[in-house]
Amino acid sequence: MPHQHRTLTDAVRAGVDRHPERAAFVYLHEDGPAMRPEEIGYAELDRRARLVAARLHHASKGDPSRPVLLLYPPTLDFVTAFLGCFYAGRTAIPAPLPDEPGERLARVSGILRDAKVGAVLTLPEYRQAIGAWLAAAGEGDVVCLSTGPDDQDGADPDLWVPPVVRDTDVAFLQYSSGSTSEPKGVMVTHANLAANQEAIRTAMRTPEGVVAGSWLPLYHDMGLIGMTLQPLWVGGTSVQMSPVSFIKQPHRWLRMIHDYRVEGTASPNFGYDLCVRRVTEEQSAGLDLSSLRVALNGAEPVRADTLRAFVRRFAGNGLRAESLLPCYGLAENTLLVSGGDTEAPHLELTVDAVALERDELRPVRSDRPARTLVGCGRPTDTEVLIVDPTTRQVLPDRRIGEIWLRGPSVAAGYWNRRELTAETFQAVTADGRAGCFRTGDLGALLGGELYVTGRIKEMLIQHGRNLYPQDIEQAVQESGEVFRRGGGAVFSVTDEASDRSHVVVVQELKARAGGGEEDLAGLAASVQALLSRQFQLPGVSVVLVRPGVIRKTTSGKTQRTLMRQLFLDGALPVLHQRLQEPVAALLPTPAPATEPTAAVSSRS
Amino acid sequence: MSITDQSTAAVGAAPVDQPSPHPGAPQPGSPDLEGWLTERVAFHLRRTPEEIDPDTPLADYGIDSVAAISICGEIEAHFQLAVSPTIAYDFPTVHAISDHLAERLASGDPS
Repeated sequence: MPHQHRTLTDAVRAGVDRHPERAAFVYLHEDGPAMRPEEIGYAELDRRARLVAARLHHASKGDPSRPVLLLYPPTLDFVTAFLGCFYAGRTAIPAPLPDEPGERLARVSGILRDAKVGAVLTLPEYRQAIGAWLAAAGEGDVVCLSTGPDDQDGADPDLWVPPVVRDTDVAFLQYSSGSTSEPKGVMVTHANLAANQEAIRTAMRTPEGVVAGSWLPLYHDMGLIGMTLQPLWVGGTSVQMSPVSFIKQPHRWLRMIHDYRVEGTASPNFGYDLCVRRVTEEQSAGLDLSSLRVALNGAEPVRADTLRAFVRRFAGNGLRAESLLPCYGLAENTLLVSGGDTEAPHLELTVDAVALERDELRPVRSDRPARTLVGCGRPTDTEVLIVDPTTRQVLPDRRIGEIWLRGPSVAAGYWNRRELTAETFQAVTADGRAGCFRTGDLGALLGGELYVTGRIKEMLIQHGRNLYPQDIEQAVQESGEVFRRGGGAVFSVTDEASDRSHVVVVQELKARAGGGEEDLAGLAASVQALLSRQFQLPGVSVVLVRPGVIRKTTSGKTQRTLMRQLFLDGALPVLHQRLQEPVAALLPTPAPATEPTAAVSSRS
Repeated sequence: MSITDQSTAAVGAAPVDQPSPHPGAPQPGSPDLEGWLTERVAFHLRRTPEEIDPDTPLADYGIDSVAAISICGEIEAHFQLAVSPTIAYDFPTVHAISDHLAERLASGDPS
């Protein structure tokens, strides 16, 4: 096979030999309404990566096995620094620049503590602030280096010596799973990366020199592994812009596809929806999307109506229905687990909704409601097992169970977490199949096609972001004396009308907390304001209750699923609540005298 | 606490806030500006303009981060004015946003 590289370094060096001037990476910056491209070719990318490696080598004190944290705004400097870690034989940690208070800063601080990093790389303009942040975090011995095109500082790229790396060495840590308070770094080895790059290349039939482009964050698996590293793997070009640039003006994504003749792209389902809803006829006139061969849809549930609407809306622009490929993947499998066939339309399966709730795919019955599932394609190099999470029995076709994975793309485990790694990465089925990774996702196989149906864990998924209820509960309880510690339950509810999910916070007040209706309204408003600031979750619904209302298991775990049910049944004794209209509409209709029709309602 | 000094345009390489002279800039409380904004906000919240009360916090209508950034993008395109992606959090009602915009458009003040 022409692209069978052992490491990312080998792949990029091969690109330098074959086409030094070809663009490796293009970043589109917002420049007023237009987008300004910043471009780097293979030879220059290689030179800057050698420079980063030489600097890391030069400046590192202490243990070179400690990982290197990359804190960059979304720019091509991130790519040179990431590659520089590979060139230096160091373990990289891609992370967002913590330039906002709240969740993002908390997340990066959590990574810093968990990973025991040896060095931080950033841009010159952030170096001082990050140095101060490290000192404040008690990590003053961590060296902070800046990289950039003009950053000479005595390092000589010609002194670079290719590192000796083993296949089992950890190439990078992907911190996309785990809660903010307890982040988990997925250990992706060089062998994992090579295996998954080959799996993607084979499944998507990626040609040499491919042009791929998206607006996904570069520090997340889909944006990094799929959209940035896959093109580098085959000597191609990656074109990227920020999620904010896209959401502000969704047509920018389609314009990028047109301008750069993009062949492969990826987005969670909501990105395709946004294009259908917001791109005007004027904006799409003249756009040619016929270059697109692969448009992956993953990271959140794939909806059949979205796929249909997107094809219908842009068929006139040369978009082919077969290019839309639902897929399933996760950082613990490096990225891709399964994906559709690039030459055929995706599969849809309409099943009996009642049987589905009982964990089985059954043909539709005329007397019962139906539900349409979208197939996430066939597994690539990864073996997919559907397993009963309690008995660990491997289930046959049509039965829904937990998705377990085995294969060369399955990561080596979570960094510094032996016990958790043993539990989740080394699971054994009842019939003795060992070394399986437990995804926590639910699904079924049918004729080789994987259907993902839900999640076991109580995670909240908001626009492809995974939020952990315990992080939100903790933030609320730390925001005021009146909130009872451990007395909160956060969950999401979905309104069928728009199929959107809404976050609900149920929080106990301390017994002494008195106060009139006005004080309670103020507290509920303060919780809303807090969560919009810290988690970019504006408009949560808040329910304040007395102590003892939150149900727990005998071992003290909050029963969020039960609390959700009680809430939806209208069975919670409410002190005060502030509900979004779509959430209020889900509750049983109360007696008209006690319930105002406004969005903000109050009961005592 | 933020570790960098970029308080606005924090995500991505968004342009800095710069005033853009807008001919015939609406005055504070201008019905044109508020009407336009109400219509766009309603669209992103999947409601009718009649349902949007200018003094009710957008949070109460279930605004999410995608809708908030979308509204920011619409404002930028409509007025050729760079605004912070957090404008819908910083000014939580239609009234507050339109007053803020009218002031900026009238004065050319980049704040």
